[in-house]
Amino acid sequence: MDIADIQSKVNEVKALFVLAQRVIPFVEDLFVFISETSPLLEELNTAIKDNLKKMPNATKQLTKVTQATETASTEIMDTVDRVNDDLYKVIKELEDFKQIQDQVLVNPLKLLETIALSITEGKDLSLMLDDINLFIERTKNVTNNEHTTIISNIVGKVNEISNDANSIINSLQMQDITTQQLAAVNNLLENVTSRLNGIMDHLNSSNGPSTNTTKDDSIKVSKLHRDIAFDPDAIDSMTLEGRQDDIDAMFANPDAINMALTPDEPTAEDEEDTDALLNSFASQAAAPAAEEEAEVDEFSQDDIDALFG
Amino acid sequence: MRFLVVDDSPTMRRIVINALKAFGYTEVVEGGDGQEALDKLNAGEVVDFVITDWNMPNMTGLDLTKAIRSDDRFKHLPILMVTTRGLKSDIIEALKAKVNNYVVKPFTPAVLKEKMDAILNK
Repeated sequence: MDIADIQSKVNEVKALFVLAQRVIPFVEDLFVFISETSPLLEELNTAIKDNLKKMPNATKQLTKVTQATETASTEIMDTVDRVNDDLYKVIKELEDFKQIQDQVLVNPLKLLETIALSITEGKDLSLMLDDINLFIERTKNVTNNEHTTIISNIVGKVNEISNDANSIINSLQMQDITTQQLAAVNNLLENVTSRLNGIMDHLNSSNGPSTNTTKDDSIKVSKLHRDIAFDPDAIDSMTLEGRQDDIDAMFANPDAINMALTPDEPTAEDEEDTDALLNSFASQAAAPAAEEEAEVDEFSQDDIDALFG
Repeated sequence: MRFLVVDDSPTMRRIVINALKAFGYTEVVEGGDGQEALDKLNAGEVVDFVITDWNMPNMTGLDLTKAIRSDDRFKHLPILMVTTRGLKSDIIEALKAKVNNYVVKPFTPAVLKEKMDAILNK
C-alpha cells in the first residue's frame, strides 16, 4: 500500500467522521421526537380507549332520556284525554242545565199568560189554584234537585280538570331532568373532543404530553341553548322509588340536626364527629334502600324528613 | 308571604310557582341562579321564604344557602332545597349549610307543601 492509498483511506475515514458529526444531531433529534411522541401516542391510545368506554354510557343516558320523554309524553297524553272526556261531560251537563233553565223561564211565562187570559175572560182563578200549586212544586223540584245535581257534577268535573292540568304541569319536571341528562351527554362529548384535540395539538407542536384533564368541579355546567348546570344522575331520580322517604328519615333526626347545625365554629374534631354521626345516620337510613339499590347511594324523602324533623 | 324561587330552569320555576299559587301564595320573586337571587336580596328585595335548586351555573343553591346563612340580614330566612341530587354526601352538605328542609325532584305538590309546612310550623 502506497502513501496515496493511505491518504485516500484517511480521507474516507475523515468523511465518515464529518458525516457522523452531521448525522448525530438528526439522530438525537429523532430519539427526542420518538421519546416525546411515544407517551403522547400512549396517551392518545388511552384517551381513545377511555372515550370509547364512555360512549356506551352516553348512549345509555340518551336511551334513558328517550324513555323518560316517552313515559312523560304518554302520561301527559293520558291526562289530556281525561281532561277532554271531562270537558265533554261538562259541556253535556251545561246543555242539560240550559234546557232546564229554558223550562224554568218558559213555564212561568205560560202560566202567567194563562192567568192573564183567565182574568180577561172573567174566569174564577181560584179554580186554577191546585194547578198553580202543582206547578210551583214542580218548578221547585226542578230547580232544587236537577240544578243542584248538575251544578255539583260540573263543579266536580271542573275540579278534576284543574287537578289534571296541575298534574300535566308537574309531569313537565321531566323537562328539567332530561335537560340535565342531555347536558351531561353534551359535556361528555365536549370533553372527548377537547381531550382528543389537546392531544393532537401536542402531537403537532411536540411540546410533551398533555396534562389537561377533565375539570373535576362538583357542579358541572354544559353550554347548550343556555348554561345548564347538571346532575349526571338526574334521570335516575325519576325511577328511584322512596328516595325522598330515605332523605326525610335522615333530616328528621334531631341529634344529627344539632350536630350538623352547631352555631360555633367547629373544630376539626367536631367536624369529624359530625361527619361520623351524619355518615352513621346516613348509613342507617340508607340500609333498606341499599339492599334494593346497592350501587346507588341515594336517599329518600323519608330519610331527609328524619333529619329535618 | 313572599317567596324567592331560585332555579336555572324556567320550567321548574313555573312548576314551583304554580304549586305555590295552588297553596294560596301569590307573591313570588324569581332568580335564575344563586348569584341573581343574592343580588336581588342585596338590592333590598324582601322575601320570607327561599326555595332553591342546587345545580345552577354562576352560583349553586348550596353556595347561595351559605351566603344567606353568613349574612346577618338574611340568615333567619327559611330555605327549602329542591333538587335532583339525592346522594348521602349531598344531604350531609345540605345539612352542614343549614338548609331547613330538602325535596328531591321529581316531586309532587303535596310533598312540597308538607316540607314548607314543616319549616313554617317549627
